Amino acid sequence: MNDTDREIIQRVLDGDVRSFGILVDKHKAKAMTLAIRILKNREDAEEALQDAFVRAYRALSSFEWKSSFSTWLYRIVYNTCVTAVGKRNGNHHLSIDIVDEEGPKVEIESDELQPDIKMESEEFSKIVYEEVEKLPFAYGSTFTLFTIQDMSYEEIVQVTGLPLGTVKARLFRARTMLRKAIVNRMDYFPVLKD
Amino acid sequence: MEHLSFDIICRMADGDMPQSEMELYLTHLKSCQYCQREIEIQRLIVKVSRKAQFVSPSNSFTQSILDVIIHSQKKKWYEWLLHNMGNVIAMASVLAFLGYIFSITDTGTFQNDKPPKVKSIFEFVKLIQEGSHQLGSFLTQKFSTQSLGTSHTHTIIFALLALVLLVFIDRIAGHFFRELKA
Repeated sequence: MNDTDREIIQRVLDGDVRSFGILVDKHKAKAMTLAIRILKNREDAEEALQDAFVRAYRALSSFEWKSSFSTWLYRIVYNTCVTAVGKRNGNHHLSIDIVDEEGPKVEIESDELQPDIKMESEEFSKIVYEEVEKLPFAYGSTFTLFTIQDMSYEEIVQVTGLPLGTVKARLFRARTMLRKAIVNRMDYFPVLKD
Repeated sequence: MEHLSFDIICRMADGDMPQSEMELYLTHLKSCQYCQREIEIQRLIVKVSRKAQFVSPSNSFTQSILDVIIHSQKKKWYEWLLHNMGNVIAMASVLAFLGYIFSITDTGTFQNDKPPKVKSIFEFVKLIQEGSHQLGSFLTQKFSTQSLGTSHTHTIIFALLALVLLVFIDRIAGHFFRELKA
């Protein structure tokens, strides 16, 4: 399981189809998170993600390692999901049914936080998560790539195909919206309230 | 008091600012609780988001993808035929050649008193015989000298033609297979 993407891909290209399952297992959670941020619906996200992985498999022989495999894969996932949003006639923002039955959990290293926030860390995390989910897909997907996928601006440009200025503007807008929503919901940031 | 812009706040929170530029804002930051909190909240938002658990697809997700891929790799009969067109043509050529050989020799005469099931097969072979014979006669007429024209000449010409054809088909098919694999 410690094989690199390059080694696994080579095995797949040599005819070992089952090895593609290792690649899927390795990347599916992050890719699913991105898909949900765009499609705002678990079933649609899973369907689009399956389509994206099959497309990735078929295009694997043309992958030239100009970027990392994950960046290349997320580009396919992103494009597939954006196409799915378009097919849904733009009503994606109406169905925000992402949360699992148990609810996604968020962990933070509480000892690095300020005392007042440490006390409320679970609540803070919950609010951040919920507000990120509510972001429109254009901002939510950019913010997800920046945070959850931990990508640089340049990598986000590669994945989305958007100009650098647009990526920065979307990220800026996402953070502005999050800031406003979070401050409105949290009692211990009175100093931030205008 | 005028606060730092949101862009500066975000860049400071991300650590995406050169030290020289940061020093310009340090004096303000030391005295402004509002900006300190803004940087703190941006840092926390990103930190919490990066620590968030990923959403996993269903348990059968990977298997369903493999099923789709494996199923799509199973070729239908016409896909197999197209994929092996070289072999198909080669086999047809050999059959035609054999048919022709039968047609110009005494052993190629078939009787009509065969069982019904086998009869249709013999009729098919006879058809190949006739077609091959006509083609052979045509080619012999076109390309042979006056000394040729016997059954033996027919056989030699068609043996050579079939050999060249099979080598050619083999080369072409091999080339396409290598291209497909690449």
